[in-house]
Amino acid sequence: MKTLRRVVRRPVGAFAIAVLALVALVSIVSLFWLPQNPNYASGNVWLPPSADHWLGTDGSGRDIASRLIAGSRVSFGVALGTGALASVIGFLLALLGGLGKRPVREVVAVGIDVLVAFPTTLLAIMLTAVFGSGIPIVIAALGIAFGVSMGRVMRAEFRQVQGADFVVAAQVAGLSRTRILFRHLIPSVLPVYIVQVTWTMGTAVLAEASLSYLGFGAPKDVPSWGGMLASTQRFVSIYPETVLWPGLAITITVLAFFLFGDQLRDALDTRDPVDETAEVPR
Amino acid sequence: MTRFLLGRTGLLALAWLLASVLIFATLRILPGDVAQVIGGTQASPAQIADLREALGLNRPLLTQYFEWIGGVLRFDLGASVVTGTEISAELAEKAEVTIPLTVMSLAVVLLVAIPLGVFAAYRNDSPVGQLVAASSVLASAIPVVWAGLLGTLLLSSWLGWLPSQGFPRDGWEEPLQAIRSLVLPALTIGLIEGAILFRLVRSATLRALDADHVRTAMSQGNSRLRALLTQGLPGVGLSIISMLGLQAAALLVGAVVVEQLFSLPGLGTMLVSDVGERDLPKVQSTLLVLTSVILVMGALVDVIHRIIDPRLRAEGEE
Amino acid sequence: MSESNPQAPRYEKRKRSKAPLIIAIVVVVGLVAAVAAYFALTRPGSDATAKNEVAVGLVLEPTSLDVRNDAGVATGQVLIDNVYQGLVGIAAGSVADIVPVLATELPEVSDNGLEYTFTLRDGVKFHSGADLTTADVVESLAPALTPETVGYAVAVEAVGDAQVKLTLEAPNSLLLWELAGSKGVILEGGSTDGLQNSANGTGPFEFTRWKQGDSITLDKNDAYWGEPAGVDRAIFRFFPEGRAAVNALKDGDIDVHTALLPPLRAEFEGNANFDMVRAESADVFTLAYNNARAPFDDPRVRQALSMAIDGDKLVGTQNGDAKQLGSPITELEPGYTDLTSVNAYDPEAARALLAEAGQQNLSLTITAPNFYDTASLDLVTSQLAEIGVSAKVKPVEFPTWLNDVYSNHDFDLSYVDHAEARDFGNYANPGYYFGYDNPEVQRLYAEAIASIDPADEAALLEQAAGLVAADAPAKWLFNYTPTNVVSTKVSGFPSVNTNSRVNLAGVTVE
Repeated sequence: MKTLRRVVRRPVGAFAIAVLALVALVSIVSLFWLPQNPNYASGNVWLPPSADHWLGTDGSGRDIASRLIAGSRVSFGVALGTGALASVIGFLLALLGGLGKRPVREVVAVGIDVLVAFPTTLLAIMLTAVFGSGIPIVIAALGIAFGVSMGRVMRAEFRQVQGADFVVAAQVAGLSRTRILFRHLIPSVLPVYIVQVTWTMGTAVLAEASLSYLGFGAPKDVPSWGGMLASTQRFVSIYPETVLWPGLAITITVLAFFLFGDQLRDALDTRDPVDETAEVPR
Repeated sequence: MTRFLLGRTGLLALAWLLASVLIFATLRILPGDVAQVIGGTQASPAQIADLREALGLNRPLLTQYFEWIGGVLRFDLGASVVTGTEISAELAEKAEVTIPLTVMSLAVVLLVAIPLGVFAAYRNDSPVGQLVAASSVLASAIPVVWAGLLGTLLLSSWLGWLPSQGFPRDGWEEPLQAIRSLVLPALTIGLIEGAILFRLVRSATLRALDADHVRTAMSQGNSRLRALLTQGLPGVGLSIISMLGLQAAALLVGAVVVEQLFSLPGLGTMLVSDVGERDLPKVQSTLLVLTSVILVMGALVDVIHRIIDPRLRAEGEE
Repeated sequence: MSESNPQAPRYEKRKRSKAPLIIAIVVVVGLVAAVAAYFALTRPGSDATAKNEVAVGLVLEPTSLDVRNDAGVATGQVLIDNVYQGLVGIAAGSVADIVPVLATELPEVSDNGLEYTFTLRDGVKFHSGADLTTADVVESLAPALTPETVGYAVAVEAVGDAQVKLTLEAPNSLLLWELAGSKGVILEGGSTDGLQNSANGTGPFEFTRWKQGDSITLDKNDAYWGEPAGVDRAIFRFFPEGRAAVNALKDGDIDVHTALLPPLRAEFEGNANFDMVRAESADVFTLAYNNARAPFDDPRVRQALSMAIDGDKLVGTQNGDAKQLGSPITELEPGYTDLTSVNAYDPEAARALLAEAGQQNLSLTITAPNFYDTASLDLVTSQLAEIGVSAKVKPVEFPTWLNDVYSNHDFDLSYVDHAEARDFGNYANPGYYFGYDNPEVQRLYAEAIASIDPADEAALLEQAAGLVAADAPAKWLFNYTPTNVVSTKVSGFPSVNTNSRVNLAGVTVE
């Protein structure tokens, strides 16, 4: 809470939180109310903005504003789902690879190194080839890929904390392993974890947009920002404004996730990572 | 050095083997009946049986795996189940687009990230330096598709400098046209990925500016800039090289989306359409080839890093 | 690149600075980029070395070059007329007028309409160099014209060295039509072996290369028996996504694009280098009901769905590149009359009909190949929703559509472009995927194709079309009349039915 207050007090942090809260709110509201049915095609194609259609209509005569609002829940849902799955996988790998017995540790370490080299997009394409496209497949692919990179960072963190004085002291004092784990080890990697998960969620929004654009994400009858980019892209030079909105929505949301992560990192005072970039999952 | 090379090669082989097993397991074993997946929901049992026979799915999994791997090692990647063409020949043809695209985007990445990164660190205290750093965060939040569309609007629709999509029909027989049609895609990938490398260059340069030997050089009467250029940058260069493997992999994968966006007949476009057509054997071989390229690049970068980094060269193993 | 601890380097190692290396890298990269930028900014001038070739942009790429076994029109669009020929073909500027091609003239037909005798043209050679013989014709046509493929038996035999006789069991006016299409192409030895990735015919162009995902190249056949091609080379390029085609046209990379996506027309309006030609066609975008299956076995349900859809709005989604239809027969085909007032747009009446049929809460799936522009489908689902029918679009790859809908009849509604001309017979064939079984239509149709006088045939077809229109086994959404964008440098490009075949005979480039 104290950390959060520290983040809010900075303008950048306040901006990030405000945007994320807004996106969350909009996606919840969209479940109950939308200006218009986002899938209703009136046949009045490419209308300019008006009181009825705040942002105009697309090539099928669907209301762009409603699709934009409805699209937020796909992006936000994928961010949450990916964050959750990646956390589970990340913690599992980090615990096994950081605190397990030596052979287990090493196998996990090599495994992580191999898997990290396997690109997220290719993993998603592979899963799509087998199971067909859909939001659950996107979450699975992103969750696995980002979970592995999260596991890599947190494993290093566990290894480091394990050698720290207070942990050694606790061991000497005869505390049980689980007690040490929950009392000392996990709390001390939490700051790194929180920053990681924030970045992961931002990157998940980006990746979902790319996958939906390729047709591997949200199905056609579920409005999504990536899907909107896909359906309007060929008319970009004729109706440029229709391409503007979904792209802007994605950028601002992702930016908010990234800035929130940056601000949290500063506020939590986690040490500067060795390779700043190696931490951002891709 | 020999020990390092051996060790690194061993790791490469292990990683490649693991990757191949992973791909094989996902595409051959996970679907249950591959023939059914390829044949679609309603293919007749006879068609499915034919397909199963043609793909050798009746043989034990291990045999299938080793046949596939053995073929791959002899550069025989099998044939597409949809069109019947040789996969290796088609890969070679598509690579004529994807490899130049990747190389060009790498050039953009380096050109954007290195000068700006060093500059932003050098002027870290000035508003300009901070602004550059802040824009990099913004750039990394832009979806590739959108960046490409905005680039198309600006450079193609409004200024008319570059073609908006497509590749010349004679390919590299029209080198000028071919390069022109790759500029916008390369800029798109390069700017987005450049934002990520930028952050590394900037933090490495900041560290360098703070490092003892740079401070020493400054205290000996060298200007800050001179000290940075002569003493600090080599270290920065090493950090960049160590990142290049991951970077190149990201560029190659970025090509998948960007090729689709710009209708380039490259590996990415091919892969996406093969997934749509459920050409699992082709997807399987293509994925392995891409992964191999990424793994080999990673290993090469490690070796190069090792050779030119005096610190690592002086040390023994680890 | 994991957690390597950055240690302070030892100073004695620092003698050879790496700065030059880094600078060198930066300089090289800078040079490369500068060269690239130079290329980018200096737009190439117009091709001074004008090659005598025509490049045509198409939307759909074939999945196989086997012209006989391809179920779509993508293969025939490129290869029939240009590479492959039949005894007869379709006259330029028409969709269904038959002219002799490999036969010296239209066949002699016996008085009872059962025997067709063709005389082969002399001196015709396949691209392989072999001479065309009556044996090739017999071996090509016999397996292609069977009850399984065309619905009736045809006996094919050679008469002497230069004649071939086809014998029917009942008169059939569609025989010549089949012979002019993919089933009538003459292959060397009748064999399709090795023709999935290559082609060997008798036409004015010979197959050169298929670059998958990109193009098919044909070269002029110097040994052609007839009027030689007007260009030395023809390249068909495939643009599944419209914007690349726009760019290719503007850059002069293609000279013609058929069926430009309607909203993209704005890109060429007022451009003096291109003509926009509206191509008349027999393309019927068809929303077919699975008539054999409930609830579509009830004509009221079918009529209700047909009345829910506003044909006028549909034409609007195509930017006017379409005409309203009231039956499956288009203006260019025998038997056309304007039937758009039958089951016309009337949502009120549609709801009432559904209520009468007791089908107020229908939930349906529309199976549609995924390469069509979705604007019209979006409109259809929305308008069906207005009468309380929830319809969900299931986009599938074309082979899946063939499998599920065409072969296995496993669908509720299907959305597809019936590009073939003279395909009314599908409504008289209960085994077709429509599953539409109306004995009266079948009787009229059988009578129509058995009639020897074309006027009788047209009148009977018209009568049958009226019945079908009222019975609504499908909704004929619109007759697609695509816009072809043709460079002013090209003359003689066909303007009729280019969605089914693009005959390049007579095309020249300035």
